[in-house]
Amino acid sequence: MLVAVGAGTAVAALLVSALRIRADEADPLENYYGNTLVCAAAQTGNDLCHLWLKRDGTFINFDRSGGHAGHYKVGPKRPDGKVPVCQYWDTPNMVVPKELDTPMQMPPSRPGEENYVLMCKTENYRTTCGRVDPARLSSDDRRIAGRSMGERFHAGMCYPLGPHAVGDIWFEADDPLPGQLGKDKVMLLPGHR
Amino acid sequence: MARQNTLVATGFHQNRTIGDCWTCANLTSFAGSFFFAACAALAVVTPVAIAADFTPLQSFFDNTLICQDRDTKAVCHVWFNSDGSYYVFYDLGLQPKPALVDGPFQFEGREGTYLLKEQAGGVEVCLRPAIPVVALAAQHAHEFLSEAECYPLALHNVGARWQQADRRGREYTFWLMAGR
Repeated sequence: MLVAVGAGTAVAALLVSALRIRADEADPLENYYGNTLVCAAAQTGNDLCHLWLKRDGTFINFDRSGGHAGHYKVGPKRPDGKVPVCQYWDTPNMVVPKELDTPMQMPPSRPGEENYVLMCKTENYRTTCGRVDPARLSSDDRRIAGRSMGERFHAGMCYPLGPHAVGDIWFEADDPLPGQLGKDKVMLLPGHR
Repeated sequence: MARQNTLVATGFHQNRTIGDCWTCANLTSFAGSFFFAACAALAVVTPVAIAADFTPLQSFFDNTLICQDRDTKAVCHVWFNSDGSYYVFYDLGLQPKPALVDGPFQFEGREGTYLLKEQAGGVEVCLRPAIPVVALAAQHAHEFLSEAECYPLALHNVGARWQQADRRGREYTFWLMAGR
């Protein structure tokens, strides 16, 4: 009897272990495929961008500058359970007629930093952006800092995505270019919209 | 500016609609209504098997069609692909309240497949949105290319800017811009 119980417990433990391994191996982006990730301003809630991640490693992103197709790379899962998703636009183009082109709103510069430029760099699947003094940059960094927004996304921008369910709304404080209050409001919506 | 508003010669066969069953139609002349019914069923069930001619939209491939509704100011960005698929992205402008799961959204998008019908001065683009079809505010507002309908489209070269009304009489400004 004891032997049978022991064997049963061992089998159950094996099953639980197998399920855990399977859960760990499950695609962390599974709920994103076929659905829409919306990024919005943290304070006003204004809609800023929509992202359709596709299972084949490509994506469609659209915002005020229109649509952008590209491919993405997924980095290793972070200790906080999120996976970095680095997006690479196929082209650096912003295809907008002059009549409809309005300058992108950027957060105001701090006093004494009016001439600073925005520089984004990616290392180990993590993109960080910040304002820097161009006079202190090397020629290589000055070239990177001189990129347009389209060129930045063409070169790759990484965003962390957590394990979320369709219908979830959350705030992401680790985006490279947060819109307001240092964070973005994010929603995962059903279907492509 | 001379190239603006220059219509493209379509070379599109008279009275031909993408998906038409030409061989089958000829057969009906001597094989009777049974064959006609069979061909009609074939045309409905296997449209991909029928030679599709998207070449009238050649100047749109790899480029971007942009529209702006004269009244609502909503802007669309459209990609027509040579494989018969399309994407349309809308900027409906700032919304009156923050977006929640059910909206309202400033941006909306839709993908699907299209067929072409010849029309004087251009083509009609007939859309079949991908399933599941999500209800869009752009659709409720009847914005250009937002519904599973046919839309008249003048054929122009890249760089053109023109104005055209849809079937409802809504006026749009169009730009066909290079690249995506």
